[in-house]
Amino acid sequence: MDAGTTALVVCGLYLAATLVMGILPSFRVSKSVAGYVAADRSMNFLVMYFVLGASVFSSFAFLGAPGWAYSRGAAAYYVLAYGAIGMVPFYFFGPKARRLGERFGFVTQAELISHRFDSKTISVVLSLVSVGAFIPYLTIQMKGAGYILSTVSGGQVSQTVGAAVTYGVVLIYVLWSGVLGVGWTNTFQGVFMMIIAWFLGLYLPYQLYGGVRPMFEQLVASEKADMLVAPGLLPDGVPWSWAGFSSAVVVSALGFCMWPHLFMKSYAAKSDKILRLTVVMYPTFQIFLIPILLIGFSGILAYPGIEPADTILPFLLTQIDLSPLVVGLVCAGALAASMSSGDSILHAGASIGIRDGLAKVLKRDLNDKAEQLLIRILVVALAGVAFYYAAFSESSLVDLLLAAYGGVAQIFPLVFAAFYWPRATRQGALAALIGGLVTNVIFLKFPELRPWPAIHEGIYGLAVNIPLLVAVSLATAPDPEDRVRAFTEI
Amino acid sequence: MNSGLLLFKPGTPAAVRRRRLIFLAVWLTAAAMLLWPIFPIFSGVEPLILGLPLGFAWAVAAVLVVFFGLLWLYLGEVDEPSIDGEDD
Repeated sequence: MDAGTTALVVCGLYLAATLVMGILPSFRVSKSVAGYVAADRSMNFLVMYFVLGASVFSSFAFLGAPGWAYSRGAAAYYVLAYGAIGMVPFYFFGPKARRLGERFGFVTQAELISHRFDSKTISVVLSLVSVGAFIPYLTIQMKGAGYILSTVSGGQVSQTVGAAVTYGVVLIYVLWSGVLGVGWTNTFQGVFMMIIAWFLGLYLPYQLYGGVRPMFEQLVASEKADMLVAPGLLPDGVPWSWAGFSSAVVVSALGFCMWPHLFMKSYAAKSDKILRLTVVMYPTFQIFLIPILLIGFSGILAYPGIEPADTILPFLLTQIDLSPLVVGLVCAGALAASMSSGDSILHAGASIGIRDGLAKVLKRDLNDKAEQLLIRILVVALAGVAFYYAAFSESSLVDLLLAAYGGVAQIFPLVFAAFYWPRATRQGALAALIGGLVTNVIFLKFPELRPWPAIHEGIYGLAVNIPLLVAVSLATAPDPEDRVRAFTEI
Repeated sequence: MNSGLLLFKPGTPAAVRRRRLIFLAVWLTAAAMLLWPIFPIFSGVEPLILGLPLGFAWAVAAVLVVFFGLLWLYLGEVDEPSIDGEDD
């Protein structure tokens, strides 16, 4: 058996193992929507820990972060920075959301916000933002999976077929098991990713330079030393400004725990303690970015000029002397990164699209069976749209994803106000959300209009969002006290 | 209706409020460590700390500040089941 086939077989075995892990939990959960979407609110610490961690660590972390370190140097610290501070609000929001979910039967983020502000319009706007933000995110995961299988097979498997096979497996267990399938596969994949990342992050610097310190000493002595000075470089090679770096960190940190697929996992937790402990332990997942960045740094001097930079990890695998078995395992780790985010996004996107979007537009409650059927249909439809972009379109997905982060960050003031500001009103929340989103999109599409061009468009959105929330709320009658107290005093 | 922020549920013990406010300060410190104008002070390459460039090690240190801050907050809360009506 040649090296490529051996590695491909390892990936195939990995996909089969993931499929089994994903289907088994379906026998333990009820057939209700709460079972499919929120795992009957039964997730333990281990599963919650990996669901939060692994659903965040996506193809961007496994392929994009080394690419950033390789091509943009210290700019890659951004990935470490926003995650470190971005999960903390979830320590406070998560348990409140969980208890409200238990009391009112919420399983999505928009259900919680629209209930507090008694607004179906907010629900529909949030569902559009969520589904719109998920498509580029999912597409990037599919492209990552396709790229890995194409590389490991030496081109025998095309990127399109690679993405189709991988996401065929994901579709089966998401359709079959819902969120508990996502939970158990994320646990399996999370452990796998951590082992692979640490192995490769330490092995590559050792193999190429004699260790991590010698690698950086050689970089410091080279003409590339300036890359290591924060905040590093922009994609075109010019220095990134501190205004750009800092504003990107703030927007991403605020948006981080607002991603709907992450937020709604609070409903799946068994208890407040489990949810809090999960957030406490989350930075241990963040530390796993250290070897990921070391992989990228190791390529700078040894293999300059690799394009696109995101391919540096698979490229390094083809250059160093590793057994095909290990190459297969590393590629399976990258597949895990793609799948563990993609499954979560697919599942959340469909649940949100039906419960918060379609059901509200139709102005009627769907019965449990019809709802589950529609969610499953939308899972397939979302996968189809993302697959189309992954396979046939070269549209600017990075732009879309950046727009998505600025958009998702606009949800933060509403969630904060729902829990901590009793005077926030429906009109204020609606004005803030729409004003923030529109501003974000305008400054994204027309960056020349920004007063300070380096500042992330999401900051401008928040600069409109928060004053609107305060001013319009204070100018309108307070919301009914009993509804407000249910949120602020839980 | 109160038009200010209600950061704590009525009846939250003073010790719990204090602990959470201290943590808030720790969290904001960690955030400041990663933003202008604090991060630029530690954004250089040398000295290498545990083999990592200074800026890299500084970002890792901020992650550790958040981790130990959260751990301290959590360990202080598990024995106080009344917080936020904790029911588990």
